[in-house]
Amino acid sequence: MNKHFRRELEQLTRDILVMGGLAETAVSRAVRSYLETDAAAAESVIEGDAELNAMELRIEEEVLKILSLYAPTARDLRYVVGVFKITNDLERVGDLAANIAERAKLGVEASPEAQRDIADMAKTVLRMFRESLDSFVKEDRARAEQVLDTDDQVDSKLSKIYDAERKRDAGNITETLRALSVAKHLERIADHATNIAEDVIYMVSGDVVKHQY
Amino acid sequence: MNSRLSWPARIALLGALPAVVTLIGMTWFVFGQSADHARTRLREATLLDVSLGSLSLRGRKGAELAQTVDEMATRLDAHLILLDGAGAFEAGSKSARSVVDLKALSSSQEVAGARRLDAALRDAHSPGKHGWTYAAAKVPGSDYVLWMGRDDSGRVAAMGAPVVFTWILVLLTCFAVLLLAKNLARSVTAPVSALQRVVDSVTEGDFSRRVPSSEDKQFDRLGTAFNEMTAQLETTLRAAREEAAQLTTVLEGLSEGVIALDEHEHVTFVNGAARDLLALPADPEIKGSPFYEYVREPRILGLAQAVVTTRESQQAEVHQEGPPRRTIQIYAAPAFAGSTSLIMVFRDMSRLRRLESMRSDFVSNVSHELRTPLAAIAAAVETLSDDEARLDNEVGPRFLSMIDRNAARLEALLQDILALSRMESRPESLAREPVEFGGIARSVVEDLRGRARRAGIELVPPGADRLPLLGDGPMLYRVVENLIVNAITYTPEGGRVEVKTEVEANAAVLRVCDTGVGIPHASLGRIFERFYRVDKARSRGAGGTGLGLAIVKHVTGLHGGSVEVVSEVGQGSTFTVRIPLADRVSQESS
Repeated sequence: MNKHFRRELEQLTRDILVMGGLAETAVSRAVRSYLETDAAAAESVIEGDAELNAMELRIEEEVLKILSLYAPTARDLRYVVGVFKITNDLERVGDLAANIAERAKLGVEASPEAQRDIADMAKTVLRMFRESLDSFVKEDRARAEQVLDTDDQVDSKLSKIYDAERKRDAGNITETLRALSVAKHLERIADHATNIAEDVIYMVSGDVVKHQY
Repeated sequence: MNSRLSWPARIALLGALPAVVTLIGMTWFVFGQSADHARTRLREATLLDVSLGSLSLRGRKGAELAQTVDEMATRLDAHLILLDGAGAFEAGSKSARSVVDLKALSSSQEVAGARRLDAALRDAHSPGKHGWTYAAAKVPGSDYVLWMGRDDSGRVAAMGAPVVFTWILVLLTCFAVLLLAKNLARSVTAPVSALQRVVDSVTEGDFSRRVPSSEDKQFDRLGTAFNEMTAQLETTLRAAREEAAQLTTVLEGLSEGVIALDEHEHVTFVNGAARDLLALPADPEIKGSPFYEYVREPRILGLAQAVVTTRESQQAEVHQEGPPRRTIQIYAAPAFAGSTSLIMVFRDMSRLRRLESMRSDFVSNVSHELRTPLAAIAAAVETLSDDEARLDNEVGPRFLSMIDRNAARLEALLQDILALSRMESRPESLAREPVEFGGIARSVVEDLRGRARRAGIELVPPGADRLPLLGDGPMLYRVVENLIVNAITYTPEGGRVEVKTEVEANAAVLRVCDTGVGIPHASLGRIFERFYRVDKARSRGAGGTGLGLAIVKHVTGLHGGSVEVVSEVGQGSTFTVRIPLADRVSQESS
């Protein structure tokens, strides 16, 4: 059983990482489509969301199969449950990317300041997201904790964008609202990365750090 | 070999054991025989002694009898007792009474035997009497019986001494035989052991050891053959290692990324280009880890899996979102035919794709730019082919001048394209002569003065700075002309175009500032591209080939200089050209 179980776990890891890769690409493409008002790229993000949803269902099925077939214990159990939770986060990230892409599809160019701020925020969020998946792969608690720390940066970036947009002589209210909603979506993606990092800490050490940071 | 006997010992045991067993067995047998023999003789002697003693007692009586018995006991080193016919004690040696129980004596086996058969003998069995012999004999001519008890254990021991000595000798001989046999065996197996040791060290990767020569011809030949084989193996292995090192160097130097995966999709090799292209960590971390932990791109992983399942090479193009955004062409193939380990080659196609799209853009732009004047000419010719129109005083000249204007535009376009392509394909065709950039700028301004006046624009000429350069005069003229014509074109009536020259950090600097419409931020980075138009409708109407700024950029670049632009929509633009001065030339001319 052990050998089969290990193989199943490996496949699970692989699947969740592929899903993470898809979500990451979706986010960075969505942000780019917004910044460059590239409707085709935005469309491909929206279409790609279906794939992420399908993957979520598949991974959940896989997790249930492993739980019922092998009844894992201790660390293995935490791992499988962690994967189960991370899938949900990844699926939500995909949805948020699609939301950003929806805004991008409308083709309103953001102001240069907003563009710069959002590009900067997106960079941080994407790095955070990638780091959270890395910490999962490497089962690295220190890395996961770093992700939790970065979340504060993202929050302050968001409030900075809010402030900047408020102060700016808003010539185009649509443009401003759009920039704010994209920024808000990015912040929520960062929250999902935080969730993943928390799950990783639980997975590695069994400590619950939720609602502490 | 650890728990069992060594080869030589086993051979020695096998060879010498029968001999040793035979020797010990034979000794055993011989000594057994001779011990029996000795014992028999001792008993015979005892029986003889007692019989002779009884003979010498014949006819003696009383005190004489007792004295004779005593003397005899001393002589024979035995205990003697004389019993009368009723079995009562008659006489005896001094110590005899303590040796034996008199009451039991008269009924003892030997006494009874002596009465019946004249003489009898018995070995002692009672505890503490081991090695004793009892004998009895009837004294002839009377009913007396002489009993004798003697401790023979000393005599038996004296006879046994040589036996022990012999046994020691035999055992020593056996040991010597075994030792000898072992040494003999070892001398036979020594070359084998030597070979064994060398084989072991070769197995561990140490090729420096050689099998020593052996006295035995066959072993010597075997050793020599093995040595040759080892030498060859060493050479082959070294060559293989060198080749592998060379291959690694080559792979590291490749501009294509190369990754090798084993059958479990674990990374076994990554070169530098692959690390850069896929943002992978350094070697020790990634080697041996699953590929999917680092590259989560589903298309790439899918390709790897396709190779594993089909065992055939696969190819795909993947768009990486980045940053930076990239188009990567991937070729994945089994490491060798039928293998499930695989090699992936990544090539960054972004540049190529960009160039391709630029080329196709260029072709479509050129054909578009050519088509517009051609269509105008065709339309004019068609109109003029009608006699009435041609001879009309107003229509005729108008269409002729239209043909003239469009033909001129075609020519300008062709000339620009030719100039660009010449500069691109043969940069050396650009002259490198001493020229004076300030003078060129002034003459351009002079030549365009009329045009500026017609457009209602004030054209401010540069100062009298001398800017000696090494370069191509006509092309530099073209640069200044293009910039000023652009400035005039995009500046509304009543505006101002100012041309300035100066020397700045060893470079000639030309600035063309206008108060024109300006260039939007988004377009600033692209205006030096061929046929790029900020506002498509407006520019073509304003004339120009769409290649002017591309030529400016190219020419300044070929002169080792640069061009940059600062612009604000509605405020105007400033183009700055910097070209390094030719020091030597400036000294010569001044």
